[in-house]
Amino acid sequence: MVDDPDGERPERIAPEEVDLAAWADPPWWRRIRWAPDRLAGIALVVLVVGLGAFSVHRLLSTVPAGAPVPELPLATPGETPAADAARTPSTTGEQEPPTSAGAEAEAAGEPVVVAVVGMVARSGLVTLAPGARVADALDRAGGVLDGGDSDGLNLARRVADGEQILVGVAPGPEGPLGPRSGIVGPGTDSQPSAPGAPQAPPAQSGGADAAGSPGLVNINTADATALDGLPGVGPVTAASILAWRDANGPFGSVDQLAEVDGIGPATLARLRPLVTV
Amino acid sequence: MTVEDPDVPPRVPATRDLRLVLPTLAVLVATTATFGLRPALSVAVSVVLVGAAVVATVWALVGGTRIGVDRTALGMLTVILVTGAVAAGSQAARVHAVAAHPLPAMVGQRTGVEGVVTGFDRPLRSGGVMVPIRVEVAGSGKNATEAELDMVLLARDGWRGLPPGTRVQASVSVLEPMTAGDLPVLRALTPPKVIGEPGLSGRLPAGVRERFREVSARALRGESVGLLPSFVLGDEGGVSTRTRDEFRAAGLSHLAAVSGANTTYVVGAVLLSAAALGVGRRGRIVTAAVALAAFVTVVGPEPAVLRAAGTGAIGLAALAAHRTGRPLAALAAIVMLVSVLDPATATGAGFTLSVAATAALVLAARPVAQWLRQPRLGREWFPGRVADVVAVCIVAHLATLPVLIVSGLESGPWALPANIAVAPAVPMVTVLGTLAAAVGPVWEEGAVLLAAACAPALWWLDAVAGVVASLPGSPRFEPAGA
Repeated sequence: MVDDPDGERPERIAPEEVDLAAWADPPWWRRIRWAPDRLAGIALVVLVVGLGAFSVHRLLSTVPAGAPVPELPLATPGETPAADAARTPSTTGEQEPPTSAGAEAEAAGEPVVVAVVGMVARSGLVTLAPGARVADALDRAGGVLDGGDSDGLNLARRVADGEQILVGVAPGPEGPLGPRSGIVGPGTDSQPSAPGAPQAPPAQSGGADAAGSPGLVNINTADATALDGLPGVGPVTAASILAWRDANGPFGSVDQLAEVDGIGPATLARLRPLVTV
Repeated sequence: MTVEDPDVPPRVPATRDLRLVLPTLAVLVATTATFGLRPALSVAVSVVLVGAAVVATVWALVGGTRIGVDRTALGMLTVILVTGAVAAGSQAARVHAVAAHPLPAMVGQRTGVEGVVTGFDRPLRSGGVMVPIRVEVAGSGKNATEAELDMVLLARDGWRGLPPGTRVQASVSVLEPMTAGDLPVLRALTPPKVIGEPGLSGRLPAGVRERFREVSARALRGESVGLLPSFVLGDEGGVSTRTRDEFRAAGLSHLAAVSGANTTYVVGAVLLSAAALGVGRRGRIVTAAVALAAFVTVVGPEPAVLRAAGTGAIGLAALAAHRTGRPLAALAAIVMLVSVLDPATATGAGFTLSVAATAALVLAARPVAQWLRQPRLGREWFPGRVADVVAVCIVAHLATLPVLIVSGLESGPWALPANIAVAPAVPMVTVLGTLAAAVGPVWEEGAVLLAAACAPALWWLDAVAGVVASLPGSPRFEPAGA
């Protein structure tokens, strides 16, 4: 084809067809090309099918693949799940799930209930098979969070009914940042809870001497009483915060409190200077 | 279809090329019809259509000649059925993807999301902004799920001016969809937590917009300061709610957003000025293509811009291949492409409006202009250019009216005269303003001069909108916050 630098190609109409009468003769519907010829038709079909396949593949590739997080194994009497070593940041002390089936069987009795609080995914009460170890209790509580101190606990120790296991903050390079880990026996009453005293330091989990940031309530570790003491947070909202934590794990930021039912922008603005994560 | 008077010697239009139109209509019908259907049903429709296509093909190959059925028609039927089936399948995949996403099931709940801002924010009447966002992770903490979905986020503070491509995290509540069967809308509960800066493709347009706002503020006064960026780049942030309401009541709001017309003016102006400068044919096409790409990058992928850019690109390709432009075929091709690749956009009001207006203009603008031009009652009412302008306004108005009414965006009764009144000012603002936006980043003084040259046209646009909105019969909008 000859190049035409000016773009002024003559119309590609044979000269004899320029005759108006000849052109006007067929009615307008005859002058319409409805159907592609065979080759163009096949090309169009192939093209469209290819596009469609690409589109379907692209749209379906955005579909989430299954559940976000594998379900944690449930502890059933007589069969204690292995401690999830991968969840804890340090891999030294907690590798032993030494509960053999035989040991479990002979220790058959009442299930034990212990409180696991602090740097675990789900603070609260856990029910364990008799003879379970501290590692199992931590596991049932969703595992130790990043930055949690599991080295301060004897993970192999058998738990007793009514105990409280406090998972503290792992000491950083500059020394301890928060409460140390520890296990409180059932008889020890270490809950000087102070409802109605909003500015009181978080008096929860036996570690009232929180060294890190005095006066700030850690919304990831505080219990209902401590949360209830915050301005704009009543028992219902405190329960909502706990429920959110149960469902989703720890808060990533203070702003995430906005996702809790009952906390509006105004409450969040009042809470921001008083809480931490 | 064509309005022809027997007295006038028939102006012979070129052969209408509708080869792509019927398959495209099939795609459109299939996409729309399966929009609300369950995926299984859509797949069933698709399978039935493919089956019918196979039957038609076999018939054409084997028995066609014997029975005496036109083979061409059977071939066409096959093409239509297959394209329809593909569209239904694509729609089924979209519906499935939406249904599998966690957010549509969380209406009324609060959750965390992580995603990428996909476009510039647009102001809302309530004073907030609307941010298009591609949600990539939905849920908080250990419930976070990777799932991609394009959504709209309503927000107030801190969400303005996020360049596209910014990766953000935020807590949101999931609201009811604006129309039933549509996607739910997100409302931001917190300011965004920026966790990823945008790339160059996001910062560059944001910079151009920012600079153009400054240029506009230096060159103009009053309402025009906000109007110019809105007309040229669709940057509505500087337009007051009152002015926006006036433009909407006057049926001129399509001007305040970037539409296909902007794209056409930009490409047309570049082609014409390149020709005037003596640039060769190939150079002209390349320049126009670059201008088109730059324009689309800066204004963002609005549906109308997408449509216009697609048809424009096809037109340029046709020009490059020494073919005469076939606007209807180009439009059909782009509609088919968008419907198959992105069924959600294809059924949206913005795209539908753009396609309806373009198709009507291609088909009917010239006949209507010819009809208007004819002398009646002994005199010529509409001389040449005026007839063209009036015809374009009438055709576009009538073509978009049904879509506007269906989507609840209809304007007042004076939309048609208002559009005719502003028609001469629009190309001027668009071309000069776009030029100003283009030179702004490199030569601010020149951009200010160019923007200042738009002042009379902007004043005229604002004045027409104000007068028309105050005419009896024009809709009144409640003050914001009411």
